[in-house]
Amino acid sequence: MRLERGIISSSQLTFLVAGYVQGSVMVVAITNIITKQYTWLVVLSGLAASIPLAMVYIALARKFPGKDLIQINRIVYGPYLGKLVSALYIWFFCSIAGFMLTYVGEIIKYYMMPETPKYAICILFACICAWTVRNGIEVLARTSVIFVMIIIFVILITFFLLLKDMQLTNFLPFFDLSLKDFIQGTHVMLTLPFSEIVVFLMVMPYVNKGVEAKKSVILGLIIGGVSILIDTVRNTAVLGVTSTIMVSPSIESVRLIDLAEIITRLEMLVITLLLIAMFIKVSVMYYGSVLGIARLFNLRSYRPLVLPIGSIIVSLSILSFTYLAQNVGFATGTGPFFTLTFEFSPVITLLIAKIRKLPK
Amino acid sequence: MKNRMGFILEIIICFMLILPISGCWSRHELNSLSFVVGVGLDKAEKPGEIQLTTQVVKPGELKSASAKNKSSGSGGNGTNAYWNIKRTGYVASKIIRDFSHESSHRLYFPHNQVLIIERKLAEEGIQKYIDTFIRDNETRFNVLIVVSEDRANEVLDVSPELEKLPAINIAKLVETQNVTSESPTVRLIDFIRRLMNKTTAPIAPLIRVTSDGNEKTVEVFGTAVFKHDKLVGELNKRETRGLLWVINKVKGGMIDVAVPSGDGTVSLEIMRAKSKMTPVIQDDTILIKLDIKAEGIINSQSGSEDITSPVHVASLEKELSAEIRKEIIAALKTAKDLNSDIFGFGESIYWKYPSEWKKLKMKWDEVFPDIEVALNIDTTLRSTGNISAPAVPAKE
Amino acid sequence: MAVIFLLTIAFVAIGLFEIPALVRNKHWRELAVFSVFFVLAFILALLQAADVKIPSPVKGMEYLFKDILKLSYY
Repeated sequence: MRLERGIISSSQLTFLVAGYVQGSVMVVAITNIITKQYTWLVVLSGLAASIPLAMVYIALARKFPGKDLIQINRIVYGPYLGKLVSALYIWFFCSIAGFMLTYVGEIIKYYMMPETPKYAICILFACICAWTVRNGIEVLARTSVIFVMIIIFVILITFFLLLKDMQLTNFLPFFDLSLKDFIQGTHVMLTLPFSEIVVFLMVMPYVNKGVEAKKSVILGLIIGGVSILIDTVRNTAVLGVTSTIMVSPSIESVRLIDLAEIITRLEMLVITLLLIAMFIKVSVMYYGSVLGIARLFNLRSYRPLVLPIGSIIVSLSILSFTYLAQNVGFATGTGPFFTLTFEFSPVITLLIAKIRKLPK
Repeated sequence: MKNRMGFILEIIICFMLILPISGCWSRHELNSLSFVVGVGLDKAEKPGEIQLTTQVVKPGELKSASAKNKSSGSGGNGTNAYWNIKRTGYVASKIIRDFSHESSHRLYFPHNQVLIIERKLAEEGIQKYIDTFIRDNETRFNVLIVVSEDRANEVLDVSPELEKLPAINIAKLVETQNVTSESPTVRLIDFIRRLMNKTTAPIAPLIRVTSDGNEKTVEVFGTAVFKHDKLVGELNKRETRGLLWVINKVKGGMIDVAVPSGDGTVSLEIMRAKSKMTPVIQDDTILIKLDIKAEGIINSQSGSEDITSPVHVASLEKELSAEIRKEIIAALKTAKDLNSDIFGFGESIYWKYPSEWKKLKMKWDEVFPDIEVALNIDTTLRSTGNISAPAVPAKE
Repeated sequence: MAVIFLLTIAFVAIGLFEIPALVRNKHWRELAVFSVFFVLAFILALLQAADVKIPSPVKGMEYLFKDILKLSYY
């Protein structure tokens, strides 16, 4: 039974995944304190490690065509355990949406409007996401096409404008990273931007030709990963060792653009980029959780649930962290394990499905 | 029924949408802000206190003020386009807030051009004073940092000849130094990057107020050398150029060499310079190899001999290399005397030998004075200007 | 007080927006689930507006992962 009337084509899926991964283009800077100048290396290794995981998700979606994650859980784990696992997944989606929302609120509050209370920004942002989610996935996929172009354009422009301020010596020495830091960095990078595409298991049933999904998702993942890589390389090259102390190196490095005193103060571009990219991310997570609840309770349509779930997500976002350092501490300490359990479970689901020879 | 309800709801939503669009929570109207263009930090009388001077633009007076005015005189001939506010206190951020006791407008920092620190204050360590300029959201990282020999509020009071605002004058002055390359241009982010490094010493240009009779002007005259965040010494103009040769920041300059055959001096203008630093560690001795390539042109000669033959040009190039070598060795000597690594030797060792670096950085203070430097200078003179032989009667 | 008042108006507006359509189409199941989440969201928002200290779920997760399972980097 289709909960959603829209259909997205596979190229729209590519852009949706790319925009979703690019949503974390500024959040990945939290690993700077761990990996110092090697963040680009950790981005690459995280991307490489997440591709097999993405293939597992696609294989699972292919095994159960037309069914989303909740239904798959029900088939594989049985009615009662399946409901429990699905409820945990919905809790996961709501939490991540809340974390992203609080990050957006923090950055905009600190950099643009210091006196505005954070909840006002979060509520307004969530209203826009709610409106988009209410209109369905097709709207979101279509807008993400344009947004991804804008994001790539802005990232490339800021990269080229900062070429004269870059110092390649900021990347030396190569390979002075301890193994523990490398593994921690890769873990954070794997779970934070790249493998959150587990939410696309909810979106898969509405993709036009399910068999082409493999190419689209991997391509989208790579586009998003390369954007994050360019951004990270730019930050490390320009800021060097000072990027480890900064809250948001992307904004600070773009602040240094000063071309003949005419092209200055471009950090507004980067903040707009944050808004657009995070919008896609929060909307998709929001959509996943609303769809999940509707499927869990066997409803006919998910639309009435959008506003209450949105309010719960906003409350969660204000509740979770009081200031940004807590967010960063959680995201680098306990967060990777929390997200990894949910992102790794589809592997277990696939194994069990193979063993039980489902679907019959 | 549904249509009417939906209609009313739409009207209500439209009205509610007007509220956030019209203005935001943190709005600051333009005429309630005063733009800060320069900040100065001085030592105040009480120990531990600093005096903060901010130079604020008076936009209304910008048009009417002429460039040359007597400042802070009671009843001068014109009005200044700026206002210097001074306050004392213990912590910079509190003083900035205290300015609201005196100024009717809120200070707005994003247009700040220059951060001037008095020499006596810099000798005590400035990390605790500049933290607010790094951490606060409004102050930007490409503000220029300058150390002044005299008190900062005097420097900010000197009416410049070519500009209307002293702070902008100082900022442009520091940036124009690459014509002679005798003073570095240091932004706050460059300063912080050196500060955060364990071994590299931060540098900043040095300025002072010189008075020529009744006229006062601001002059840049060298580099201030820090160790961690305390000022320990200075480099004069010649040594500064030596430093800039090594850290690859020479962009121009004029060097005088004596003609080998004894017929006057020749001025050579540097067009381009590039330097490369390679550390070599061999059995506990550290050798730094410096490769410097410079390109120059002949700018003027005081003799009447024709020096543009290849033999002469080759000997001029040798003289130029010798001159550059002298400058660099002078800078090296002063740096070793002050025991602060302004060249970044430590960093280059870290880049190439990270494992040895871990052992070296603990005792860097003992290791640095023993570092040997091997110089390899390669100069090329590309052109002789508009004329080849000097404008003198041809020799018989 | 003003915030609580605004919150109530907002939630009443949400209700007015959604409930008539559900009742008219006799989607009782949807109405039930909607009401549950609506009440939950309302209570959560009210508690936050009234500055009641609600324990953050993040702390619960940190406790679970750090202390019980000992799975954490810090």
